[in-house]
Amino acid sequence: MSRFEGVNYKRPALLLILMNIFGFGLLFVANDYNKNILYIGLGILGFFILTYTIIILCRMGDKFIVPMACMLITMGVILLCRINIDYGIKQIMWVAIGCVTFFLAYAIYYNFKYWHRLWFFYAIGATALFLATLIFGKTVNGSKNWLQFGSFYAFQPSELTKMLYIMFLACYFSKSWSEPVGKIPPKYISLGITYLFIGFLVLQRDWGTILVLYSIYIFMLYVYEEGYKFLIANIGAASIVAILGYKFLYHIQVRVSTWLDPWSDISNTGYQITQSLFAIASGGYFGRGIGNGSPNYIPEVHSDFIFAAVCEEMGVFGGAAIIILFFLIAYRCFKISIKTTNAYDKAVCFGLTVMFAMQTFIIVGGVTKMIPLTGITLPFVSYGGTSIVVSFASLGVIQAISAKAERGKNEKAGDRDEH
Amino acid sequence: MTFYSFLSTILSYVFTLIIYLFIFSVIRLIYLDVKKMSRFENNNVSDAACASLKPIKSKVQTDYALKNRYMIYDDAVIGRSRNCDIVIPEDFISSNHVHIWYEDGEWYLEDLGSRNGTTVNEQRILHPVILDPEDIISLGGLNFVFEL
Repeated sequence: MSRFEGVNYKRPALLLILMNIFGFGLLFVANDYNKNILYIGLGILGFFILTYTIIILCRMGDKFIVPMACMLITMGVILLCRINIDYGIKQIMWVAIGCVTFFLAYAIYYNFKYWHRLWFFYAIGATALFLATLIFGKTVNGSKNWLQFGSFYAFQPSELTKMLYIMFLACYFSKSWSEPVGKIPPKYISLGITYLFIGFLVLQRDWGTILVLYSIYIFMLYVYEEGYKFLIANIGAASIVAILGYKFLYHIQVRVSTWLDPWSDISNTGYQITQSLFAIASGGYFGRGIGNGSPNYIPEVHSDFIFAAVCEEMGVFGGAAIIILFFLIAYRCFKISIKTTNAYDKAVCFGLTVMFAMQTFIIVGGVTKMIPLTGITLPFVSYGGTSIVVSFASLGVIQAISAKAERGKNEKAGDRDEH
Repeated sequence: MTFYSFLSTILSYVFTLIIYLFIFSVIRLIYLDVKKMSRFENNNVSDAACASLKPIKSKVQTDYALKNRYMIYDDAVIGRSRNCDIVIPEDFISSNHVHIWYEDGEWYLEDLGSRNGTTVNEQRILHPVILDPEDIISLGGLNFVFEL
């Protein structure tokens, strides 16, 4: 490393620590010197330093994704503590579980070698999760997408299904699954399963996840499929279904009309989005400062609408920084996907990247009234147990893929000698 | 409370500064990392002339997955045999098919007596020829673009 003067891996870490000290110090003053704030800040710093050190020392592949994700988490937790300190405390617990999941996902994905053969189990697992949600699910805010265990622990199966679905699609697109089942080729089975999942999600009224799943499918088709006929047929079918849905489903009509004109029904359907727009507008360039704004007027500000709170209290520059960080994460993940030689890893990494990117696009676009709003979490920033844990797990998988790609050079050379 | 809101307003500028410094330092590290990797790749062929072959659509089908791009440093023999610099294990490629090398500012190509022959821009090669960028090289029907 000494050959490359000026490469300083410590600098981003130091800036992150500085951000934590200032942010939690400020919150400490704001909350009447509540000691819990300091514990939360120390917890975040501890997890970050531990993870980053392990990644650098054990050479676990890419060194840039985790600090960027930690920056996003720091901004998210600071805002959550400011909105309601209980959310902050719960979020830090989820981050702790997420860190463990990160290393577990890394170790399991790195060491287990038969992921590309298990398409059947992914499909069955995801279907089982959907059925369980339909039967035992709990309805929250009009979407039946929660599974409750006992009185404390609830989780959102759709987050997990996204990962299973990506691994399933990767089996087909990496050509590791090519034998037909019965007489149906895998191409049409994957198509059928996609539409089956979308059907389940329609029953659950989880429009955001439908958009994410379908865009993963379309992007993968665009990248992997030869010729554009199948892709265009799919997009055509989807637009027909979308138009029919708009004609017959009341929920979608409300969303679109709210998007086109939230001002006409400002006290009812347009309330959330207009409050979010007021919040973003009042932030200005640098924001009003943490604790000076009033993000609590926005319903669901801690999960879906956290971006509006960021824009209010950290300004347009803060919001832009979140988008830039997601850009950089997506760039690094695409880079890993290009660099790795294993076809299955390539497809999985690509799918997970598209998942992060689309989720960010959908919710940031929705909050800023660029596209119709659909409820979905902003990865790493929003409050939400399942979302944080699954985001960390996907990050662990990406990290394992990059570690494989970096260490795989020797294996490949050995491979060539055996031929 | 006024003291607090004053403090918070000041710190909002500090936060913006820190976040952007963070983004800048990460971008800088990524840039240095990419540069370092490309330096490592050329490590053992310092100052070598570098060209590449990029597979394009061919009439023949390959069972073997071709790379997106094959790099040539100074000198390379392409063929089916394991001793070649660029190995393409296909039946229609001869064991030592073609030799590409750099000499006095020009890239040369010579067919090493392959059975299915080599063509450059659809002309069969019998003697060594000088390659130009964007020439289309065909090894037994498998097409490549020669790029500098």
